[in-house]
Amino acid sequence: MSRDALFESLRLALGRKKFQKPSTPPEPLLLNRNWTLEQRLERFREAFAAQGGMLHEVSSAEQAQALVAELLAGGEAVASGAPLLAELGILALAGVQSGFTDAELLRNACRTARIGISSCHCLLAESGTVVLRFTPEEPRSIALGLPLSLIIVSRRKLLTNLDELLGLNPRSFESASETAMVNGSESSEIHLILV
Amino acid sequence: MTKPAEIRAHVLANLDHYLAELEKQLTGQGGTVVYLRSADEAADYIELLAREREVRVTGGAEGIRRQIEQLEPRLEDYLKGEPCVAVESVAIEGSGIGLAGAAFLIADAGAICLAGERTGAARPRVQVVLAGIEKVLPRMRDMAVFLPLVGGSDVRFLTGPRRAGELDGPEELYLILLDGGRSELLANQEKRDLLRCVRCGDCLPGQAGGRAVTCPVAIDIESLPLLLREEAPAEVSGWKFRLWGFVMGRPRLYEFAGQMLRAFWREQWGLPAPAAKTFRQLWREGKK
Repeated sequence: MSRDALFESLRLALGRKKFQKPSTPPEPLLLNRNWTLEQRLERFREAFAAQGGMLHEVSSAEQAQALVAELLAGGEAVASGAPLLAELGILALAGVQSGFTDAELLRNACRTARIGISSCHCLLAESGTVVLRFTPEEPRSIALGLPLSLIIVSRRKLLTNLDELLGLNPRSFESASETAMVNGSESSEIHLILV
Repeated sequence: MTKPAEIRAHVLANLDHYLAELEKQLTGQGGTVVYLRSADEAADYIELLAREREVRVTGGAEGIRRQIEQLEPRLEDYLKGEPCVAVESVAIEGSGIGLAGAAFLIADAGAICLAGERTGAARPRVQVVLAGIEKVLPRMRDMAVFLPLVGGSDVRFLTGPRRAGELDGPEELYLILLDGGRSELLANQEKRDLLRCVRCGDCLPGQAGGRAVTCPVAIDIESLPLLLREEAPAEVSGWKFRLWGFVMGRPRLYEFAGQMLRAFWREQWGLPAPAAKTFRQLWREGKK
């Protein structure tokens, strides 16, 4: 079927002219809850745990490092290039490989490692959702491809709900090739460290 | 009219505009948009694509066509009670080509929304997404009202193939837009409203459970889908049904057939194993 033939039949069915602009579409009502950080935290803890996720809350880089080392338990992990991981000193921990610039090296590292360490774009408190945005710094195979996903994120990134995310800057989705919204996982274990 | 219904009605009244906007955005982000008439045409297209990319396809175009019909059943079939498959992402062979069915398409972002379980499990080199032409929405913020309708533990928004510097993700992204009779439905004033359907499944047989169903996009549930179901001929025929009817009409033969099935049951068949005792056996035991 040619594109032009389809568009012609659509316009004929709708009684529209070529290049005719539509009226303004009806506006969706975005729900603004105005929750405080503590309210968002409380709701996120409940919703995330209900989906089988493990939430850890720390207040310093040292605590984050100690927790990651405990989860690694001497094993190997691959880490993304998220700036937060470097700031917290996670990339310097023993057993953590990072700084991948070659696809083959990344694939090989992911074959042997058990844990993938990454950060995320934001969290949605109401649904307990983790929003991941894949970029050169945040590869898909590290964030979601390993048996244990360890996601480290600042609590400032905790939004109320999807409506707030879409209301902030809906065009931001185009800044990455893919955005994933994860609500628990049956195939892998998800640990989230809130800093 | 509900807000989702208003937005869907607006999209359908301006469908050519939103499809053109989606195409412009997605191709600008590196994707390829293809318009095809039917599942058969889509299967041929994908088989050719697989051949060009040297990916082996088990079952050929026919196998692909079956997958397409599962991922993107014709709208009329869906409303007659054939739901889409729960896992909306399948790989044709290894991780060469991945096939997925879109839940929504977002025109202003040039985005494809996949919603379901384990939508990101396969990581193919070439990602092909199928969608009916009616699945487009004007803006990303419309997802605030539409995403809660379809649910799914994993939601992905694809806005193109992998970009410069990315080490993984699909190298190519194809969006196949299927007409499949939709442009004819659009011209039919009586049935056009069916195209508002977002496949939330609330009205499907077995989902409603006897309760009154309110369609979120204000399709006249009582008349339109029922009209389509009534139009379908009753297809209860063939030797299997005649054999079944013969056995069911003879209680001793039915019991004997059940015993034989238990005796020769094989796990390799991949079907649920029959219960250890039949209802009749339990009934007799209960009477003693």
